[in-house]
Amino acid sequence: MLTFINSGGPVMWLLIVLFIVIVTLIVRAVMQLRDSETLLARSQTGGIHAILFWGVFAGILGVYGQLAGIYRALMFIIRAPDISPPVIAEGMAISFRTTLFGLLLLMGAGLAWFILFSRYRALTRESA
Amino acid sequence: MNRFAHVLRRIDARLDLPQPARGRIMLEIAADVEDLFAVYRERGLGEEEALGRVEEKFTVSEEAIAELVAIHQPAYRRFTDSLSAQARTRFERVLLALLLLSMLGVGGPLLARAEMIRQASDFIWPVVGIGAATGLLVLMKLYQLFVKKDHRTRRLRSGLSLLLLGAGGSLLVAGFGFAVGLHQALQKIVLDTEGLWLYVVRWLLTSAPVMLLGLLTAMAAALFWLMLTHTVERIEQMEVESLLS
Repeated sequence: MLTFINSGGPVMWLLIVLFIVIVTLIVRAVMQLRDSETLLARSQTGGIHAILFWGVFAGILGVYGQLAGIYRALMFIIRAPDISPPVIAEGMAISFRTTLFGLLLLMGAGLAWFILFSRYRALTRESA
Repeated sequence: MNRFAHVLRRIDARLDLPQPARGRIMLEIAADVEDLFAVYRERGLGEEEALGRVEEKFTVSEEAIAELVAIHQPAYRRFTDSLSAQARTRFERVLLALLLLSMLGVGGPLLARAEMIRQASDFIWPVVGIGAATGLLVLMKLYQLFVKKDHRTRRLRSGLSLLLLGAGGSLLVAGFGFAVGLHQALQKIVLDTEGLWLYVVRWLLTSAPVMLLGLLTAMAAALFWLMLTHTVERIEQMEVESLLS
């Protein structure tokens, strides 16, 4: 696990921070939806949209991390043109880790947002 | 005390809207009320009569209130309001700023290298242009809000949408450049399959800087938009409170 995280470079650590933030927001939103009366009285969505917001940010950050990694690797490849294609391919595959992790976070956040927001809308309809 | 405070308080009490939309709509209605008063005065009506006419016009039904809300709350405003409702806590704002600084720390040293700009495709220049224009706009808004302290209602939000446009534009141009580069590389690979890796490497070398700069510009523009929008909302809230008091 730690090897996987380290292979993604500093951006992977930032994505881990975002993962923690998203999970915290999901837990907070679930707890607030349980206490629906307070939530509806304040006419707030309990930070449900923030889950999607940070998910999108994680997706963008993942792509950014991959591009920065690829470019840095290319600078080495230019200086050592005899690098074999399998090594380049392996590097490319590793560079996809931040993108995949970022997009995974986006998908998870999107799914959580959809479920929680549907529940919130159902609650507002019930109260109306 | 504002001479229309009682009219505005009546409308405010009947607005079934969350903040910040409520505050902004109240300010816009207040400006409409003042404009209408000025029109009546220009037509030669006395102050008392003009006040009475304005009160009459703004003593409105539920349907008219809904219409007022619809006029001042178009779809794109609702969309940007829902966006600006994010990162509202101090913790989230600090996290956002730290993440942006980290992104700058990762990509900045690469982008600062002259050879990177030289290697990049021509699409880098429109992205640089959008970035420069967005940066200038941010500086102008900061000057307006914090140095000049120009808090006129109708000018408060001017230019904010352009920041979002800049963020979207830089992403779009960079993404388009990335796709064009890939298309050109694939065309070359079809004609010369031996040079596959060479063309792939060349495509990435020319397109990665454009995408990096595009993403960084978009994120920075979005962060400044969020920060300035929150500032504007706070100012609007204070203005509304003073109008209604």
